[in-house]
Amino acid sequence: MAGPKIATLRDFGNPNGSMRRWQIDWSTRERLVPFFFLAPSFLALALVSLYPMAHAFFISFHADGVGAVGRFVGFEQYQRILSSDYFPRVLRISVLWTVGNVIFVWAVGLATALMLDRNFPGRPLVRAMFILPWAMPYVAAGLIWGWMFDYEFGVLNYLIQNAGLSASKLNFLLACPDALTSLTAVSVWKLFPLGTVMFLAGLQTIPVDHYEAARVDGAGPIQCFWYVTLPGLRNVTIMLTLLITIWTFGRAFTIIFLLTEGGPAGCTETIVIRSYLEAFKFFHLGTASAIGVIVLLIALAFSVAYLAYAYRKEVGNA
Amino acid sequence: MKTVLRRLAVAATFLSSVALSVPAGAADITWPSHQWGEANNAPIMLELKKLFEQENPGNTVQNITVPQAVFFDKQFADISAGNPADVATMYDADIRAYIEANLLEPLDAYYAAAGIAIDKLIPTRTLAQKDGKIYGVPFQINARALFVNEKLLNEAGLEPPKSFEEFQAAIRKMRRPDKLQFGYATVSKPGNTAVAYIEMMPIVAGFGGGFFKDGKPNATAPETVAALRFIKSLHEEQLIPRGMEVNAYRQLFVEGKVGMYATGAFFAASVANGNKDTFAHLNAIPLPFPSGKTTAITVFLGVPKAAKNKDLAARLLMRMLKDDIQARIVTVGKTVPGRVGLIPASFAADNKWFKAFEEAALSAASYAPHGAEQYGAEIAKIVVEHVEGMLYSGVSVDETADRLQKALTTFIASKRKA
Repeated sequence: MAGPKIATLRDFGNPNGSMRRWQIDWSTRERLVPFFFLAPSFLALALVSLYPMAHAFFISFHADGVGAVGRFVGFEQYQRILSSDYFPRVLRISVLWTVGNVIFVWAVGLATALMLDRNFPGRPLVRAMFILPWAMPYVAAGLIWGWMFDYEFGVLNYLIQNAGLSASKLNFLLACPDALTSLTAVSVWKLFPLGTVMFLAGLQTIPVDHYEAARVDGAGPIQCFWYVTLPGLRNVTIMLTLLITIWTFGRAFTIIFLLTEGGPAGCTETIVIRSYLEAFKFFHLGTASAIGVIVLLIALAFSVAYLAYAYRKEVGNA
Repeated sequence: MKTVLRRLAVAATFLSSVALSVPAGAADITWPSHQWGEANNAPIMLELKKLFEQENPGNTVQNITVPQAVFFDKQFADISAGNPADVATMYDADIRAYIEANLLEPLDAYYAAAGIAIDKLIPTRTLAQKDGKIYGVPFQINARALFVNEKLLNEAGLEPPKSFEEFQAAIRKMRRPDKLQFGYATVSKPGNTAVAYIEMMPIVAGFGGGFFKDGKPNATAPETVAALRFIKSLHEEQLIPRGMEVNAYRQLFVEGKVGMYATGAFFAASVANGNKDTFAHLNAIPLPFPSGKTTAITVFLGVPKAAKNKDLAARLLMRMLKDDIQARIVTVGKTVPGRVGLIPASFAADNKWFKAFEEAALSAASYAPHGAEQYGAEIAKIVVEHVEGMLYSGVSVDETADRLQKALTTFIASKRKA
């Protein structure tokens, strides 16, 4: 005697079965799998990044208010910021800071990469030493540099005076534009290992026979560098420039905040520092959010350029 | 299935018995503060917590230590998000801003119930008052007087200065570059506008000036200009340590490398803990600037309107104003408490330096801009940026005062328009 029929997976495929609508064919399933893998990361990002961004965007269209979002003011916050006395100044400082970082990270990174690309005893150890600044936490680095720059007791002024390089003490952080120069130096010190690593990787992709051919044609070291090395590092240079631009413009905060907080007389106050001050010192959440959106839009332009370049390169390689 | 149901029933019984064992209305009062981590304040606050919990069984006070560097940012974020703690800690400008934004609970009924007369609080209580109501409890006032290291003064053959001229002479005479020794220390590092403003204000008030008077810019007043000129001279003649954080030059005083420093009474606890020799030679005198005026920072505690345990939090603050805790604020915290006339005689006799601060607390004005206190942070930034231009970019004193006056006038006009 036959017992009750037990449903099997096969039955779900039955055109008359109630589970038919849940069936997903193999190719659709294959297309959906990546989205399932991406979902946890997307959810996490949405929660900690996209939602705050969207909320900041929302607040930027409202008046400044403590304790509650102010009244809707449309683009008034943006108009006020763009026509304010401080905006051209903080934008100019942000651009100077970014350009300084890009140029010097590129130059120092390339110089150290060229040096470390050669064979010499203890090369792995020296390479590791050059990575150390990159590994050091920003806050620790900022505090140490703060003491090194100290006017009264700093080691830099002590060494400079003892070496007879200057009769008077240098105002590393006490004068304009010296303070911005000093801060840029610290930031470059912190970031150049990234350039070094990227250029080292780039140097190893340049075929040796290109150098040999250049030498056969009578090229010296400078011509080799100019006509072989630099063109060979073109892709790395573009990638590094875009990356450093995005990072230094959008994150021009930690080192500056630790060492000068935007002073003296506002000459190291970047747009990001201003956004922080508006939010947490002046209680202007609407203004701070609008500045944040402006920073986001500027950084986004560079990010789009970076992604477009990366995509084009990938398509080119394929 | 039966087993699962049985287990659920047991769990529900257990949870309800736990809930019933807690007295009705029991609550956790949340009190985040940077002061829980301060050596001079933590013992008093812990004592208050213990007493309050004993006197109110079932209720607890959560002492949440938040580093000072992030405390005010976090508190503002919590209040803005509508999720504040039960007790808020505010300085002069903060409490004005929060009162103006209608974020604090009035405490008049609690003062009345506790039998504490509001007019017996320190004069800077007025910062916590609006339209006849009071919105905060003054925890402690740090009126500025001049700490002096009598050992350094004696070595220079000097007595504590009694006039501005004597003060200037003492600054110069105690300056010993070979020993990295300074006669005086005050703001000398650009950047931190709040600290710079607080450090600068006793000097400006000491000359009889101020950047605001009755809500109007006052930067070009002769007294204010004279104060700026004095500050510039200290920098130009390298009479003070330059480019140093406030905590760094305070440490120089503790180490016996600075002879005189104008700050609040709280600093004595740092000296006592840091260097017994300096503490043994510690004295304090009223600020020796021409007008004899001084400024103060008052630490206020308040209850946010959106707090979950407003009633209990307000009662906790009233408990702080009782005689026993007020005395501990003096003896342990070495600061002047919120209620006037509660300095233990034995403490005053043993700590002769305290008298200058006790007297200063009765006459000191708030460091916040007069009549525009709620804009304190913004005004401090405008003022300090201009003063930094004067100190580090070579702008003359008169030009600085003129530019500052214009900037402050534009600023306050924009606020009135808004």
